[in-house]
Amino acid sequence: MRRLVHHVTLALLLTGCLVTAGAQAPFAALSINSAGPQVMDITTGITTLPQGGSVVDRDTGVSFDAAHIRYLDGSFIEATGVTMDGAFGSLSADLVRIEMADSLLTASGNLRLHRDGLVVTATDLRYYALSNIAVFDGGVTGSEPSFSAERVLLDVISGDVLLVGGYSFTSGMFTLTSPTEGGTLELRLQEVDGVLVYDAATDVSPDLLRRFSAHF
Amino acid sequence: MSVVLALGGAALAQCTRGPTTSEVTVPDFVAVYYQSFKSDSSNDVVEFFGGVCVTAVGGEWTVMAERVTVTGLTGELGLQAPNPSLYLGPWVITAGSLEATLEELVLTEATVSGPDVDGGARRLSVDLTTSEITMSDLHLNSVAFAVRGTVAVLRGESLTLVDAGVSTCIGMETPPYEIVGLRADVDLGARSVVLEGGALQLAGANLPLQESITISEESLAAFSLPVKVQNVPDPGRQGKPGSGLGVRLVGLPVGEDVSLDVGATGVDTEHDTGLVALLRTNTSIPGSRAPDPATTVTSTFGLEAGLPYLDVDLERPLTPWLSLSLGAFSGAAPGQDARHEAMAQLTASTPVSVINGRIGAEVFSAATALAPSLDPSLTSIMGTRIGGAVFATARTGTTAIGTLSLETRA
Repeated sequence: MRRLVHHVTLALLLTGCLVTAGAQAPFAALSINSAGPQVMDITTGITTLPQGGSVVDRDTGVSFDAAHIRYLDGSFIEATGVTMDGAFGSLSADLVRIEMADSLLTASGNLRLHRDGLVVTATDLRYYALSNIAVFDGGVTGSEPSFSAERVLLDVISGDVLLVGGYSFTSGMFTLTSPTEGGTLELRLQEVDGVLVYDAATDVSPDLLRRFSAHF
Repeated sequence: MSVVLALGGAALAQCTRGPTTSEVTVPDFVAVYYQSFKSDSSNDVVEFFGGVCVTAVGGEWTVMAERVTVTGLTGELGLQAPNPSLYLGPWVITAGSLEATLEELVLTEATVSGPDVDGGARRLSVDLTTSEITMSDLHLNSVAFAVRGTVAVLRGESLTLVDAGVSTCIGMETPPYEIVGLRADVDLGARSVVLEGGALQLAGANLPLQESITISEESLAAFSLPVKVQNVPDPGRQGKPGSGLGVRLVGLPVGEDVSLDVGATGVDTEHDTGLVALLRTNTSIPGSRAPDPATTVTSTFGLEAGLPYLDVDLERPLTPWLSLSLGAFSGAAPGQDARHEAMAQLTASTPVSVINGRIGAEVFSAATALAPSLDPSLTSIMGTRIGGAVFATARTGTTAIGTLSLETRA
């Protein structure tokens, strides 16, 4: 039995592997390249890359490097010490987990997202790849522009942002503060004279509400 | 005043962050409390709406409006609001529009309410550095008087008006009389007006007044305000001259011991208007020799309610104990029948030290004729009178409660 496991490990060392969960769905066809040995628990089917590696999703373009990776073919990938690029921008986090069946990416721990016109830090992130909506929770703060909120929703395609709950938002010389019972503030991405800026509105447009409605 | 306080209270209630009220601050300029907000980067503006309160960082002023637009976010900062209410110290100012910069607030078509005063101005600007308020076409009513001016500057409680007008006819769009001047200085705290280069405008006439006139509550209380308004009843609607509402300026100094009353009677629509122009004199004619006593002559003559009026009294001491009085009267008080009368009276009196007073006697003779006011030439009653009387006056010395005086006449 030890000899068999050794052979599996060697085989995985030599070749990248493809983790699939279904055709055409985001995160359905992840390509994993190990930076070291891979260990597969044949009782659970979970493979561990103790020296980490890189992961690429051909459909979403998501790719990341991680210091440590665990995955179960067709089910999930879990990585620590992650630096990730994708449609949502560049993300770094202590822990990232991708649920392939739900096309859901979650991240936590020293979370930081950076994209054109927006930098966000938060405790937790859920990225719904099917709807291209990212939801940040837990002491969400932003720079470029400067804001804070209990929850922040990001449409990764349009770049529009919704601050939810108690929030503050600074734009130029303004610092907006939510009502004491909380509220919503729409930040709509605009390009003015070649510069990306956010226009803010307390009356959220119906279009944005519809896009974010499932994630309030 | 209570209205002002109530409005102020409402302003404060809305000017705090609350369950449904958001807050935005612009450092060193304003804090804004609002229901809804929208920024427009392409036009360099932000808009607050749904009930907005804007307060200066130092709290010197507050603006409330349904909608407020902040302009010049990347340039020169400004603020615009239609139909705003401005709370500035004790003043509440509502207006058709507001435009503000870091230096001044400008309001148009403003109505002004302050401590015991209210009015309006076509344009009003507040210097945010000095808190000086400059107004154009201002009209302001207080409890004591109404003032107006083409230009007005308010510094604290001191209001200076140029091309000013003052009237005690408060709240009337066109007052029946007005004292106009090149300049007026109003002390809103003391409720007094000093008018320079003044003239009385009444019934189309323009009568120059003294170089400087002071109108105050004290002058009102002392009846030194030269304007009297009277309403003479007209029972049975007989239309007697002088009936109805009358306004006259009294005691205008036109010379030494000579004053002028001018005005009009029947200025309301229900009565005939009559001119009032009465000269009043009070003359003392010295005796021909040094110890001779002076003769005193008082007279009033001119037009009363558009009809001739004469009232002359002469008093001449003949001896130290005997004096002669001569009087003549012809005319009618407003709303009264005409009276023509002449009278001569001799009065003799002598001091009596025992009673610390005088005793005396007087005899008089008078001839009187009454005539209907509507036809003064038609005499209705005529007669003569002769009479006499004796009298005595006595005074105590100074007591703890003052000096007591007693006079008897028979």
